[in-house]
Amino acid sequence: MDILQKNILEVKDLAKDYPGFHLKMDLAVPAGSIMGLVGPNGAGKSTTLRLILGLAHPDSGSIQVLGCSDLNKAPALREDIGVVFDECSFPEMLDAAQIGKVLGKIHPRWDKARYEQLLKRLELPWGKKIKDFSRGMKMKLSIAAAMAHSPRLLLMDEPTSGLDPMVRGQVLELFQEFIQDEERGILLSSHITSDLEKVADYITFVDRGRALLTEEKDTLVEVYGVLKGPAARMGEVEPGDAIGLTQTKHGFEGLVRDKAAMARKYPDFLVDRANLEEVILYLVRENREGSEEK
Amino acid sequence: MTGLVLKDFMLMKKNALYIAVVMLFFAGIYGSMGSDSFVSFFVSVMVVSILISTMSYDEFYHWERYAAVLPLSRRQIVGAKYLTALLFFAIGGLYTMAIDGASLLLRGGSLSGEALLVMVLAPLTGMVGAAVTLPFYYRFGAQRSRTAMLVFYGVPSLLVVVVARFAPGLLKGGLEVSLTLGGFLAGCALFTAVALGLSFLLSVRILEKKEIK
Repeated sequence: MDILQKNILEVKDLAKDYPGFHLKMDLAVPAGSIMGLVGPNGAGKSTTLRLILGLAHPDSGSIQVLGCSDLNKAPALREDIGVVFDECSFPEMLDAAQIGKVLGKIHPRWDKARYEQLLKRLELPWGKKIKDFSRGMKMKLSIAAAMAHSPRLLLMDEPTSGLDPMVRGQVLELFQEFIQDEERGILLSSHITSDLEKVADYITFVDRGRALLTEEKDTLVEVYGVLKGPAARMGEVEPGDAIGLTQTKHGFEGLVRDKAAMARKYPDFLVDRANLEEVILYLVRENREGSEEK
Repeated sequence: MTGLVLKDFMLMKKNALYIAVVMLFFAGIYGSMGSDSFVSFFVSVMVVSILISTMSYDEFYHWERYAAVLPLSRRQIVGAKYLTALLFFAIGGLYTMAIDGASLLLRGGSLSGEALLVMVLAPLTGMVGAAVTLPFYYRFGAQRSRTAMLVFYGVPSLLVVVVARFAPGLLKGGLEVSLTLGGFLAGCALFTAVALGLSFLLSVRILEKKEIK
């Protein structure tokens, strides 16, 4: 991560204990970027967001959101933060116009024209009750509401889940536009790796409450690869060279960290480009096998 | 903060209109029997019930979590709910006065001291009920706060029934209050204000310490 870039969100040594779950997290979102928080269900993504938002109290560690260490002591600063939860929080007997009226009385910077423009762009009806919305429409409404007061930081928990591919594209485009001025940033928790592959600048992998890896997305995709070869020659791969080396129907495969170096070291084998999902799967598997061995 | 109040009013508009029509029906029946006090207390109970319904909706839609990330302090969030409660009682009080006034006009009577007592005591009782149930909501959720409301209204009612059944003399003696009507009502209003104030502080304390899921 470029240290010259100003972080609009910083999480250091953040720890939180729940029965059967321990979170230990480091994370940063530089201005002008999208950080994708990715990991399996129950990995600690939502807990991390709750701690950042001040909905839960950390046991130790520090959180700096837009320069503030405790949002609960500076509620006005929340105007600079837009939040989308994994479920729509708006009462279903209201409609988008009523939600606009309510939020317009709460947000000092609420921009009615911007809200209307977002609803139009996301093809949301103005006067239809939310109870008649699909899950995707509800998420789009949550996103429009989170963006209509011009926040500097967007914190979103699975905002694209339930959206069809076309709408996902529209929403991801909105996110990219949002960070164009290089002053704002997004922390986007998702398990849809293809979305993160499209928009994220950085990726943090989370598993069992720990950030396993934080890396620039482009570096991740460029550096990691999948080493493949015939099953009979699997033994030729030196220990430590490949993560999660396994035998498949067609031979063996495993994740390698330095794609180019491994291609030189094993010229007889194939080194494919690894997509984000493959990188995650191998890293999670390695983490779990490692912790079970311990 | 007014946005949260507005949201509760939008949510309950339909329910409140429905309840108002039902109340009018009961007012007609009981008014014709000369019992206006029933309407006053029933409206008061309904207002608390509507208030708890707003909390049930908040809980169901995870609104508490959403409100907590808006540019509002936890004190303002709690304050908005208490303000909503007071406004609901004000509307309920006006509604009761309108019904009782219409009933008196139709029957050609005049406002007795007892009728005035009931008209003021009913919303005050409801407000004390709200003062009891709101901290329960912030600590335990809407379902438990509903139970707290039932206990609040149920236990005293049951006591009155039991005393009336087994020791009616005690009840008669107990009602002989030596205070003037005005002094008594002022005392009740003061008690209600203190109860609401303490309840508000307790609710703020609970919400400030609460981890919201």
